[in-house]
Amino acid sequence: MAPVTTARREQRGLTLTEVAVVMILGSLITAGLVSFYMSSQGLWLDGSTQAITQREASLVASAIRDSVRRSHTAVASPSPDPLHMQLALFKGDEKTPYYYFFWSPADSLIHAGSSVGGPDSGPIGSSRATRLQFDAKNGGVRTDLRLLTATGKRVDMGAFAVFKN
Amino acid sequence: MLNERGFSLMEALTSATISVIAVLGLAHTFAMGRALVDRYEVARVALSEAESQLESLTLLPAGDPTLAIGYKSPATPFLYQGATLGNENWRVVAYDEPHLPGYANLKRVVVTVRWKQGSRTDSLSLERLWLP
Repeated sequence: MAPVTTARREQRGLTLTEVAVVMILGSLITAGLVSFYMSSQGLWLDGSTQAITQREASLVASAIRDSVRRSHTAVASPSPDPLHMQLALFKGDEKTPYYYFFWSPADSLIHAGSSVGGPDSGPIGSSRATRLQFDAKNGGVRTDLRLLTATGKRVDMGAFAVFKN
Repeated sequence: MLNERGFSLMEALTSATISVIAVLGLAHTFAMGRALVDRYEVARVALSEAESQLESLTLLPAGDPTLAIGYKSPATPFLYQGATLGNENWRVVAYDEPHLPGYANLKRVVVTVRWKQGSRTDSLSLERLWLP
């Protein structure tokens, strides 16, 4: 008779209290895991977009520096506004600029090319710029730029390059 | 019958503790990665500042006293996003290039940027050889 009693005891199931306790504990653990996953996902997204924007800021500064070094003179103009300037680069005694760096109000990106707004002047990078300022004097060009990450954090970069052509 | 005994309280507590430690370790790696991104953001700017400083020194005439061997410039503030994070300066030391005639035939200009971020102090040096 003893085995029958044991089998019945094993099949008695769970009480409502046991189920409730298990569900509450399970919910708490799940909520904790989801919260951890979401916060770590946000942290990763924030960090990776910031790293990408930092690289782009270095890339843009490097591109401007290289172009200035290849140039003889430059003209910086507050176009479209003093926070978003345009840099026209000249070679030798040429009267027409051979290269431009400018900010486009259409996409807020920094563009470069042999004309302003032409088909050959595409964006360099994919981070929006809130500042692009040039100071073309003293034998070189000082550049100050501010890019925004996808999550809205600011990344600043400055560079100075000398005319060597 | 032995396999159906379930978990004891101690086993459950032990596994929960191990899981918590693992999750905390994972969270710590995320925080460390984020801190590294912030750290290298300033390092990139410091590198650009050092490059700019070296570049601007090329505008000086060769006989300028600030490019004389032994010169050490006064420290100037290193700024990022309006805040002073540290300072930068340059020094000029003699450099002996064995393939060139004479001794101390070149000048080595070393630009150093030092900054503090939180409790960590970082520095970066960039150098370029100059004809005397």
